[in-house]
Amino acid sequence: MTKNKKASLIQAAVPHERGAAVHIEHPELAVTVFDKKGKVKEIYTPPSTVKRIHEVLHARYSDPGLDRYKGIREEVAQITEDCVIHTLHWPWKVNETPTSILTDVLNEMSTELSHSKEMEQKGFNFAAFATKLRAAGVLAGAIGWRNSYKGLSGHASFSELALISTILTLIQGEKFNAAAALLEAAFFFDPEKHMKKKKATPSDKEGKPEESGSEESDSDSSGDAEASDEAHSKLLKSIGGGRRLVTDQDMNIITLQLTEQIDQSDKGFRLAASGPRIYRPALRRPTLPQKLFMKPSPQYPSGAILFDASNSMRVTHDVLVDCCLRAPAATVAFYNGSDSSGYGTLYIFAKDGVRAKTIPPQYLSAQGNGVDGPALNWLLNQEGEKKFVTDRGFCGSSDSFIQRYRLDKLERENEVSVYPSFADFQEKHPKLIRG
Amino acid sequence: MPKENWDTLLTRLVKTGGIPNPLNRVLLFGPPRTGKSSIAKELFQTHERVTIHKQLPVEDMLGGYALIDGTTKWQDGPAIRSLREGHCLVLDEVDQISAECRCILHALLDDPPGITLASGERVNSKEGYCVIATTNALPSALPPAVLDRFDLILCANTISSGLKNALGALSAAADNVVNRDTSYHWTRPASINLFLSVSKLRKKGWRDEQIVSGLGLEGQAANDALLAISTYR
Repeated sequence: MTKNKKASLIQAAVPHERGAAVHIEHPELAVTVFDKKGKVKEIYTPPSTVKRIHEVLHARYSDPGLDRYKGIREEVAQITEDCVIHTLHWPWKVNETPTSILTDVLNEMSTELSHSKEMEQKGFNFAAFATKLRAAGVLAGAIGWRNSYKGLSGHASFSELALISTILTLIQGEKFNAAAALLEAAFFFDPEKHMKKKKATPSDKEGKPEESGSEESDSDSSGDAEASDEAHSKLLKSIGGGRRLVTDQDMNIITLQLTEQIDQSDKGFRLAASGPRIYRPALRRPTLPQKLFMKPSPQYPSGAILFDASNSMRVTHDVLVDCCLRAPAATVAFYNGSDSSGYGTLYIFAKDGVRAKTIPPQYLSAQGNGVDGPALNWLLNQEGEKKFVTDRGFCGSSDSFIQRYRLDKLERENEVSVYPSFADFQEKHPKLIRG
Repeated sequence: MPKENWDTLLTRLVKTGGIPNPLNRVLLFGPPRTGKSSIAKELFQTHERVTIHKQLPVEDMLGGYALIDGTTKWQDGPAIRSLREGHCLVLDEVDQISAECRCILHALLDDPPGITLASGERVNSKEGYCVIATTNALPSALPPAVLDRFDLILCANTISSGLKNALGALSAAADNVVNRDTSYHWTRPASINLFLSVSKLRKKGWRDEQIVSGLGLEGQAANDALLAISTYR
């Protein structure tokens, strides 16, 4: 049952210049309604301390149109704004929140965090993370980030805490759009949007790969958009320890000479118009089909397997050959690069049942990662089951931590299977015996 | 934290100096016979008591001229005596007040309280003056101009300690009777006087949480009040 309340204490909490808000008690609804002029029109609050504070803060401080989050998805903008109001505008100084209110806040946040686990189990990854992020914002305002970190560490993984910490730090530095952009990149990664095309440079320093595609940037960006993109890149660079943003154009793709037949790959066959053997059941048909012959066709474990060939993983030729014996029909590739310059190469070692005979030593000499993001993009573009053998030690790009989080998310969604080492991969993929 | 009884809160405020300064206007509402009117006897050594009804003349509150020894002399009524001597004034059934007496009530509950008599004399309150008004109706039955003048509005829906002592073992039975009446639910709205009381208590050095509990606010109303006063310092 709703009740219109005149001159309630919640109304008294909203400055008059923000609007003559009407406070409406509601059993469940928590929303602040703005009119066309951007003034607060109505505040609906349930009997929940945190939600009442939340709506009052929205009424006091929020921008109704969320104009400061231009180009950001709405749900990302909303959750970022929620964090902003709690982190920056909590009504009391840290550790001065009244006891009765603090008790309610801690209880409600504890309930929300336990709900986030249920959301994760159901596959609502963004909703689960958004709940954790909002709880972090509320607790950071009420008890400070250090204390809230301890409370959150039981509910969030290390990579989630790192992302939360980065977003809240940006918010505290009043870089709201950047915080929202980071959150959007982590969950709604769009290579077109989040990995900007590198501009053509006249000189190459240390064997940079050739660029593919147009040298000119997209013509649809206005001057303002370019300026904000540049500001965002600079910000990302400052977060990423001075590294630049590595894009798809910074990774070269080389297919090695695939000359060796993978023995186990000739299992299975397909019908063809020519081949070494006749498909005898077809001879019994009243009319002969065109595809009368059988050709060997690898049918066994296929998909794509990507190896992180940085120094820490110790990938060798023998390792890759062994892998082919376990997935003869798969596309096997490895990548490495330079952490300092952020360039790298992906080498395709095996494809369609054939593999390279050797790997030139210089291809395994690069010791860094560098191109984790582009390599992950390549893997996601492959068909079939995707496997990634990596120790998740991504580095070399200003968005490496986003790529790390992105991989965690893809793994949770069963898009990519991740193996921390080759030994782990061997254990889970038995060698196939020809016969 | 367990909920504090209305009589315990009043006793605490009197002992800690919250009443009569700066809080000197108290409204008690609740079911009959919970000890609202008799609380003043427990808290104050001397007090004046007026039982209000619709036909109550002004003279019964303020006083009037009486013929004494062949001359007319002004005799103070209970309200004027309380003002002059700094006593507690108990106004029972304040919701029954007539329109004629309502103006006097405005003056008695003003800040600072004071009234001009028919003789022209201005009577201001002495230190120690306070008003305790009682009613069996909800506070919303009072005119807004009267209701907003009260610093403290408490729901007296439990039997006071004094009455429990008097009842002895039967206090449990009496409690059962009182607790069956669940109609006394009222949330104090925001008002200028509420913030004035907050301001006065802040000047006395009270913390916001103490202020809110001292004003008898509890639960969600207390949290809302803390939120409303949080940013205005």
